[in-house]
Parts: sequence; C-alpha cells; structure tokens
Amino acid sequence: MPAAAFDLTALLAAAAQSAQGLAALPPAKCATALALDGLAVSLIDRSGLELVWYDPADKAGIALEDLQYTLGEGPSCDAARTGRPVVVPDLHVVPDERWPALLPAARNHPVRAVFALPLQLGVIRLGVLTGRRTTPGPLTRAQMTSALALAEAATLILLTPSGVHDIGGGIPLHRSLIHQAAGALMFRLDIPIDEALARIRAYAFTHDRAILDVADDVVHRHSHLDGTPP
Amino acid sequence: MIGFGEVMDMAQPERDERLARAFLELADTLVDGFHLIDFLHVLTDHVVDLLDVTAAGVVMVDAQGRLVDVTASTAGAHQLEEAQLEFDEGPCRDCCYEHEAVGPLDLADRAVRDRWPRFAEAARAAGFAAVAALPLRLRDEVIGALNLFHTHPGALRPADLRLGQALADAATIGILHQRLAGDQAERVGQLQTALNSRIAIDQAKGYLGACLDISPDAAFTRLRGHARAHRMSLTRLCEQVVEGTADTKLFTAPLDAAHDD
Repeated sequence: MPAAAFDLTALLAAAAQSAQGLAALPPAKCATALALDGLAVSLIDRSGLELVWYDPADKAGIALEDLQYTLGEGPSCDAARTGRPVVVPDLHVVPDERWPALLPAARNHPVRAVFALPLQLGVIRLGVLTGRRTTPGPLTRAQMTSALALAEAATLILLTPSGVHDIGGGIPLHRSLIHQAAGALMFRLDIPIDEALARIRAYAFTHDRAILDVADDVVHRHSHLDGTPP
Repeated sequence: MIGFGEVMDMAQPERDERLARAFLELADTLVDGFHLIDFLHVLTDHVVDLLDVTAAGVVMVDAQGRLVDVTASTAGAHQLEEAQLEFDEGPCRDCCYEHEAVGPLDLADRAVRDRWPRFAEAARAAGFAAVAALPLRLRDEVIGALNLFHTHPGALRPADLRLGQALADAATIGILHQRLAGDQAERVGQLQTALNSRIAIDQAKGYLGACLDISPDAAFTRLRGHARAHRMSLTRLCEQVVEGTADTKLFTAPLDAAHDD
C-alpha cells in the first residue's frame, strides 16, 4: 500500500473514533495524504454550494470555490448537479465553452488540476468533495480510490450528531457575510432574497471582484451595488 | 433450499416459484410507504402458505426491550400474541428474551403447562395443540419472534421449522435495512435543516441590520431577544424576516425592548 493511502486510512480511522465531527478531519493533512494542494467540502443548499470544510490557509482553493459560487458553474457545481465525479487534469486545455465564465477567471489562480466527487447517500446528493493541484496531470488510480474513500467518510461524518451540530452552528460558515449581505440588500432595494444574492454574484462577476469583498461593502459600507464602488 | 422441498404437497415448480416470491418480497423493504405491520402480515401469510402450520403470529421487540407490534395470520392467533404480552409468558416472549428458538412443544405436556400456565390454557382453548417460536435475529440482535401454531400435536416438523427460520431471517434483514435507511433519511433531513437554519439567520441579521442601521451582531441580539420573548424558534423568526411576514414590532420597537435577556 502506498504511504499516502496508509496516511489517509489512519486519518479516517482517527476521525471515525473521535466522534468530533469535521474538526477531527484536518483538510490540509488529508490533502497531503492524497498528494494534492488543497481539499474542500461544500454542501448543497437552495442557493448553491455552501463551503463547510476547508483549510483557512488554502487561499487558492477557497478562491476557486468562491469563483464557482459566484458564477454558478464549474467542476464542483457539475458534480453536485449530476451526482457523477468530474475530473479535470488540466484546466488550461479545457475548451472555454464548457465553463465560459469560470475558465478565463480561473487562469488567474494557481490551479491546474481539479477533481470533484459527489457526497451522496444512495440517490440523495448532499454535497461535493473538491480537490485541486497547482500542477496539471491525471489522478492515479490509488489517488482516486483514496479520494472516494474520503468522500464517503466525509458523508458519514456529516451525518453523525457531531456533523449535524457542526453545520448547525459548531463551525463558522465561510459565506456567512454573503448571506448577511443578501439580507441587507433585500431590505435596501426591496427585492426578494434570491434576487439580492443574484445581484451580489453579478456585481462580483462584472467588476471582477471577490464575492466576499463585495458582501463586506454591502454589510459594512452601506453599498447598494448601484454601480459605483464606495 | 435443500431440505425445504418435502414440506408440503405442492407441485415442485409452483412451490419453488412461491418460495422465490416470498424471499423477494421479504427483502423488498426500501419502498415508499413501508409499514411494519403490513410487512409482518406479508411474513405470516407466506409462512402459513409455505409451511404445514395452522396459524402464525409475530411479536416485535422495541429499542427498550419491550414486546410491541403484534400481528398474526388469524384472529385467534392474534389474541394469543396479545395474551403473551398481557400474561408476560409464552413461546414468543421466551424466544425474544432468551434469543433462541423455542419448541416445537406439545401444549398438553405437563412441563409446558407449568411453564406457561395461562398461555397454554388459552392456546388449547383456541384449538391449538403444538407451538414453536423462531427468533427474528441478526447476529446478536433479536428484533422479534415468529410463532407457529398447529392443531395437531407433533405436527410441527423440523423441515417446516428450518424454512420458517429462513423466512424469519429474510424478514429480519429486510426490516433492519428499512430501519437503517429510515435513520439515514432522517439525518439527511437534520443536516439540511441545520444548514438552511444557519443561512436564514445570516440573511435575517443582514436584513434587520440594514433596516435599523445596526451591526449584524446587534441585529442577532435583537432577533434572539424577540424570539425568546415571543417563545418562538429563532430559525422560524428569521425565516419570517426573509419571507417578509415577521412581526413589524421587530423593526420598529425601541431597541431596549429587545435587550430584556
């Protein structure tokens, strides 16, 4: 057994025994065990994918997730929608029409290989495990096997009482501020909440800004997103 | 299937087909609208159909170890299952608590009448002469017991008991599958509710904060105070804010009113 797979097995076993929810499964160590540069888990919500498990130091991975959230397209979105794994050995050679908004934007980020595996229970889709690497190349069979095991373990951990507790308030939500901004914009512009979120996404896209920065403007700088940055 | 063949006077192909259908039906529990009592009726119907028995009944054990959920192929057998709960004696009861098959036993035997005085009398009064009980068991877990009744003493034969146990095993696996799937569906629901609740609270914090020109944290304190004062769930209040149906006092009353905690 390759050392990496062995490391991951040990990590999963320790997490299963601890009953500590997602906290027992450190994203950075799992990424290292899989020979990847970053790993993240997002849960499917009415408005998109909610990032719930990630390494706060993994700026490139978080940026990729937020880009997909802003644009509503990408490997993770596809895996969540279809329930099938999406493997992209090199983002730079994918034809633009596959993800027309994401691909040009992603070229500014140090991400080349991406894979997204659905977290599912039977036919119920819960979310996606996304992995990324700064160098292009396919996943080996051993990496894929380990990644599938990790996706399964993450699903089971999320469904334990500690996992539900994590999501219900135990862990901070990466996109809290975006939801607060949607609420604020709903009041200021007198529009439904879904439209408020759509405007935040559209503004971030058209002004080429990080969606969390846009949300911060709305919540803390009273921006109405009416075209002129504060 | 070896050993089941000689059980009843039935043409072999027809019998094989009915056996196959019985096992298939007992495995098919992951369906919409699964109902345990209906499923146990399917079990007792197949048992009476395929075995040389006069009647069959089932008693289930709940998570606290109590006997519950009685069902049977006939009204008379049903009463005898109920009687085992009431008298706290009988073959199903012993089978559930001792985790082992009971019988077959002749209800006229002295030892049997001493062991279950009230049950033996009631069973004989109902016209039965022989009884056996088979556990619904998977490894160490016994979730219930299958009772077999016959009107003739000594008529419950080993081949019938073997097939009865095989049907009970199939039913047990079916029931445990269904329970597991039900638990998982419930936890998926809890996870989704938890996430939706988190998002609704953030949205309401943002809305109220913008409305009253206060910080999201101050808005949260106010939302929590309002929910507490009106004895409603914070999540429900936040959903109402986002739906535009929340109490207008939340947006107009002096801030102090929200700080009563």
